[in-house]
Amino acid sequence: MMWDLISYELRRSVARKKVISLIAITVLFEVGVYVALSQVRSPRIEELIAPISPILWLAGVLLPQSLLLHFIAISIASGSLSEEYEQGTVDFFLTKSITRLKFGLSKLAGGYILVIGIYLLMVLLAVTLSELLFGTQIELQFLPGLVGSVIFSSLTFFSVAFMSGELLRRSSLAFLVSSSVLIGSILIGAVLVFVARLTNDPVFNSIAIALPSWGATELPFLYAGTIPNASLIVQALEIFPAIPGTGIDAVVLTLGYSSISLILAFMSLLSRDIPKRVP
Amino acid sequence: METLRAENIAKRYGNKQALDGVTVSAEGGMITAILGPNGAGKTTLIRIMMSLIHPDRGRVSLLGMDPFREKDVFKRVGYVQELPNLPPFLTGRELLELSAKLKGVDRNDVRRALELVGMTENADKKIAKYSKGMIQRIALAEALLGNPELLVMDEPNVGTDPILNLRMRDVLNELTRSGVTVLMTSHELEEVKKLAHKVIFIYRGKIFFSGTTEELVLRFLGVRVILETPDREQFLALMKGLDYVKSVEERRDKYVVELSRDAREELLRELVLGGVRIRSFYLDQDLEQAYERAIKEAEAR
Repeated sequence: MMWDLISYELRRSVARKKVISLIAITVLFEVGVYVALSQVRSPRIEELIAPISPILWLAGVLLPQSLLLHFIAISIASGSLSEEYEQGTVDFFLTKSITRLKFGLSKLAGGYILVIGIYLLMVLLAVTLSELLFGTQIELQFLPGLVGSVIFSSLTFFSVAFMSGELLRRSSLAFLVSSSVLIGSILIGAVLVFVARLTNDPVFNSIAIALPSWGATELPFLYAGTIPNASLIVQALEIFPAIPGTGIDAVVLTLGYSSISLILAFMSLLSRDIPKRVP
Repeated sequence: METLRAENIAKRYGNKQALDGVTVSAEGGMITAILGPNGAGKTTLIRIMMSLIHPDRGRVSLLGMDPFREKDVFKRVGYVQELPNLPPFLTGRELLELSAKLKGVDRNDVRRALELVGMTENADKKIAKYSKGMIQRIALAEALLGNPELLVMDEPNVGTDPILNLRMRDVLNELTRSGVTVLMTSHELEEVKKLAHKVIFIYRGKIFFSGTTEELVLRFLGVRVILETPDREQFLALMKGLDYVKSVEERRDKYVVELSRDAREELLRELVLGGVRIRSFYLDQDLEQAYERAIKEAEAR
């Protein structure tokens, strides 16, 4: 029964123009990055790219992690429950022999599977294009771990958006709030890092680490830092390069923010009334 | 046998007491209609029964089970929501197949349900392309999947055409004959008159009346007999002499006789003995007028 709901959620998401647009942007984004890198042929660029061209797959795998993937996660999760409320279709499901918990879990799983699917499409494009345009790629044994860390990291804003959708029950408002949390926390984090550098006070760095964006964006970069010769790509793409956090910090923060968001979302889903849709 | 019971239900929204100690029951093989003006609390009551809204007080039992705790009961319950909101990207058939899976019903039942509501030809169109009437049909088909023992319908006649109303009436009568309990809310009083075995009138969150449609008319409209006779003068003279006749109103070739008590049989006997020829003689069952008077009386309380 849960798989029926999960596949319904996948179909519902794909039927939305917003998600189709995101997939189109994803494809354009990946293709654009590699075509741009392969076509720009100044001597300086050639000199820079030459040593990293065997691991250029990493650019396409890491680049979405900085921002795009979080927006995709927010876009999918913010509408997952809220659109059912807005369209009044939630009645159809909750008057069947399915508990609210199973309904919510199925929606959560369906949305997350879609996020993973879109990201895997990016990864496939990144690996294929880098192989085609820059020759044989190496260090691909790090790919599964890196992909896993990116997928895990996307859970933070996916959960925040899922919670916003349930609590606010308005998809556009939920998208706005979740996006603001993402952008706001990145901006505040950058300011805190700057203040920490000026004052030499590590407390500001600790606060920056505790913000939801740090854990959500840094774990894959921390992992990618262990790949030989990857430092140039990592430095170029990393959002918070100066914050000395650890992988464990990132995992704990991702789990913390995700758990709190999901607990709040399910508390609301299990206890609140489902009012009649106002046309 | 009582298959649905909502007992002492109360629900408040801010300052508004939507329901205040409402007790409703419905029996197998009967159609029970909940009546009341907009905002009376009908939909809130239905949504509480369907476990979509938690009551502040009271308890609900569907087929002997608590719908808030025992969700399996919904395998045996069909529900048609007011102005059904269905996933627009699915076709009618896909919706029914999904519902069959969620209800644990054989997929072959989808074909039967589509035929029952006359939607076989349009089953493969997207719901987004359906008219209001087609949405009502597909919602009814969905509710009928798996032969439910209890059918709950919130305003099922909104947006329906006379053909669908006729078909729906046939389907509901067939269901009740086989012992299914039907509970519905409606503003379509003609449909209620034709269908309902029992009506429950709700006003401002309280039950104001419960009984048959005939009892509703008698209670709020009084006993009014409509009769047709060619013997005008003789008839009017006879009416003046009967103490239980409150008034006589002439409507074209018919007369509406208002009685102070239910003296229909006495009146008919007097007319026959008085030699007044009677072409037709029946109780005035103008549910609309009775409904209007019921609202006025409820407002005056």
